[in-house]
Amino acid sequence: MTTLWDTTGTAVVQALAAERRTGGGVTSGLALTLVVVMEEKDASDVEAAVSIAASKHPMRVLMVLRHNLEAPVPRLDAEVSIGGRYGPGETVVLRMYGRLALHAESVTLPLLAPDAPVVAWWYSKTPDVIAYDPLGVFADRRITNVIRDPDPAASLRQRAEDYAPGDTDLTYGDHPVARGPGRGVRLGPGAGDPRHGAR
Amino acid sequence: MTDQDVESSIGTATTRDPAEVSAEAFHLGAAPEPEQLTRNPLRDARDRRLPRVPEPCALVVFGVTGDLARKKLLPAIYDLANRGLLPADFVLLGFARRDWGDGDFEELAMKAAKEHARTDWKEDVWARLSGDIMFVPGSFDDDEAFDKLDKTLDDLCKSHGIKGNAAFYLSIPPSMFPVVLKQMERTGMADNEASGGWRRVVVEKPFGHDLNSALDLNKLVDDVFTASDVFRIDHYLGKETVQNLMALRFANQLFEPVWNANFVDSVQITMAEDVGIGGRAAFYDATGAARDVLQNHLLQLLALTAMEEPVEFTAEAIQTEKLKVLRAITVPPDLEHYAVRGQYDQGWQAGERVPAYTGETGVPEDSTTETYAAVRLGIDTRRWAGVPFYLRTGKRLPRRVTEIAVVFKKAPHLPFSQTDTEELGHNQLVIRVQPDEGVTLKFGSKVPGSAMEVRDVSMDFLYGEAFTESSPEAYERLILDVLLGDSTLFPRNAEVEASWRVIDPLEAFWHPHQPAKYRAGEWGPKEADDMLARDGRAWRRP
Repeated sequence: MTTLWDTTGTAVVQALAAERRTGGGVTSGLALTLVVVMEEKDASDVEAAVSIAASKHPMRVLMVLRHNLEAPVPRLDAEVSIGGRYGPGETVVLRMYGRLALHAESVTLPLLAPDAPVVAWWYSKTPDVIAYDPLGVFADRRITNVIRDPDPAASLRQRAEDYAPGDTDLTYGDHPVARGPGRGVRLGPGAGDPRHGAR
Repeated sequence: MTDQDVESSIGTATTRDPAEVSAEAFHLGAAPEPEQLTRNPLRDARDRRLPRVPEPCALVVFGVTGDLARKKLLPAIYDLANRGLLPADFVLLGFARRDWGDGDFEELAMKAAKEHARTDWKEDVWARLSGDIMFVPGSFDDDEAFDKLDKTLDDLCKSHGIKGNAAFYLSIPPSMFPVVLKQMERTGMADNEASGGWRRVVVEKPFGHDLNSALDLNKLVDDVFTASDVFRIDHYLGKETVQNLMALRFANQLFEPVWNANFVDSVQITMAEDVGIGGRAAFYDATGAARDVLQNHLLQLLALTAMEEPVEFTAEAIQTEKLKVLRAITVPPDLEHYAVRGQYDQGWQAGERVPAYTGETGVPEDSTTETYAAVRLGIDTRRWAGVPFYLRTGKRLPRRVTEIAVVFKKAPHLPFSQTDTEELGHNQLVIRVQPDEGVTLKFGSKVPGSAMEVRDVSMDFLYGEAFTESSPEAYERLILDVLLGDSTLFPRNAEVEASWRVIDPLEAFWHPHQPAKYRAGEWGPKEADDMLARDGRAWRRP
């Protein structure tokens, strides 16, 4: 694992490349890049979910944690690891401070695996209109959990209003009575059609 | 250069230790007959263990204090020496307007080599090389200085046995070319016969700024030097991955059958830089991305990707095929849809705030110079008719990457249901020129499980993994080729002219228009995405 303090996106890209070279990690097998937008308090939940997901699909996980937007000097800290506690894939934890946190996409964009699908996952606190969110705009699939938002009902309504193809919310799938455990479902058109159900 | 020459130079290099053989030995006229040296039964030209070592020669560098000389040229010379690829009688001669002695230049060269060389620092290698580093001070319009340079070269024939062989590296702005070349003509420095050996000249891009200026420049250089002695450096051609393109295509049976319009859907060639313009504002603002990169690097990559098989692996045969392809390039008639140029606006890149192009030091606020260019070209040959070649280059893009992606057509019929192959894209062959040098082949594969589901997977060839030998830096290879007289990896002037014939109509179309803006740190302007969307395609994210 490489830890970088007060670094730049370019240095993170280089650290990841170096880690891959020395670790002999499989670079070509990446099925997707998962961008997780989360907070420190979500860390253990996200870690558990990511390690299960990573054991099924080799992926590069970029965890974006935003801190203290008011910090006068923008700063980026990063941890780069291959294998280890997050499962077999590649993981980059990115902690952003100050104004940089508003431009997180500038750090994640160079880190996306070439030509592989991008999945963005807002673990909590979903922004409005996720398809146009700077982190969502590059994603082929955007995942939310309205149940973890402060007002789940309002969030769900917002999700329905700004729905765009590629949006997925996990809440309905998590509902044991409705779907059985552990399954996500797409919102919007086709959601009720069994042929387009959760896969 | 013939095999015999190679043998003789190697024979010379190994039998004489420069430390032991004093300069007087040459004065005495005791130089052995070349006949004797060329007949070494233990050496065979087919022996791959023989290093390619040039004849004794001098390399004269104009503009030694420039960025290129310090970062690339001087380190490359050290690397060559370190790898044992320079002849024992090699002289590095610097020329610049500085009040320097040999020692000052030596110090600059040492600093540059220490800082930027690829190979390990070895004191003894440097000690041997540094004894043969010389400096001639003077400005380019100073007749006396050039007379002195000429005399120095003559003296070197005696002291170092360079036999009149010298290569001149013009690491100077093209506006200085006429005056320097005139001086060379005046002193007879460029004359092969008068000097008794070979005299070659190395020219860096830009090779003019449009067809007419390129023709003028070519005429100017060719008037002074023999056309075959002019080496135009396009450092991309010195890259191992670019040369591998020829090996990949012509040494294998696997790819040739599908390398044509029957199977290829489109080709995307990308050269992205994450940096801005650095300190080159004056040069860049007058040049722009299309002239700086598209005209040379990208069109050369296109030529190597699309050319027919050369009949033999020689400079002439390869240049002939490249020229054929370059001349067959067509520019789309509706340029407003298929030629996009952009200029970066302020934004965040890789976690740092960066200014707009017009906010860079030295760039006028109302500059309309492009920092991004994307264009769709066609190639009118039987092999490529109908296949679009999308070329793009830009500064302040998210990542530094150069790659060639050959995108194949989708299978004409899929026996699977549409949902089974939802995640299946086009088959692709991607040549990663830099970084992560290698080749990726992308194709569909069944996802393990009880259902039939197909998604893209890739097979990867990584240089660093398959070969432990590190590849030489592009400049190393190219300088060595100049000294050996091998012009395989250098574009001929006809190629340069053919390239300008492609760029000129684009520049003429762009000139009255404002470039599209894109935020620094993004993959170019929206117009470039629209260009591919119009054809039902999308840029590959490199």
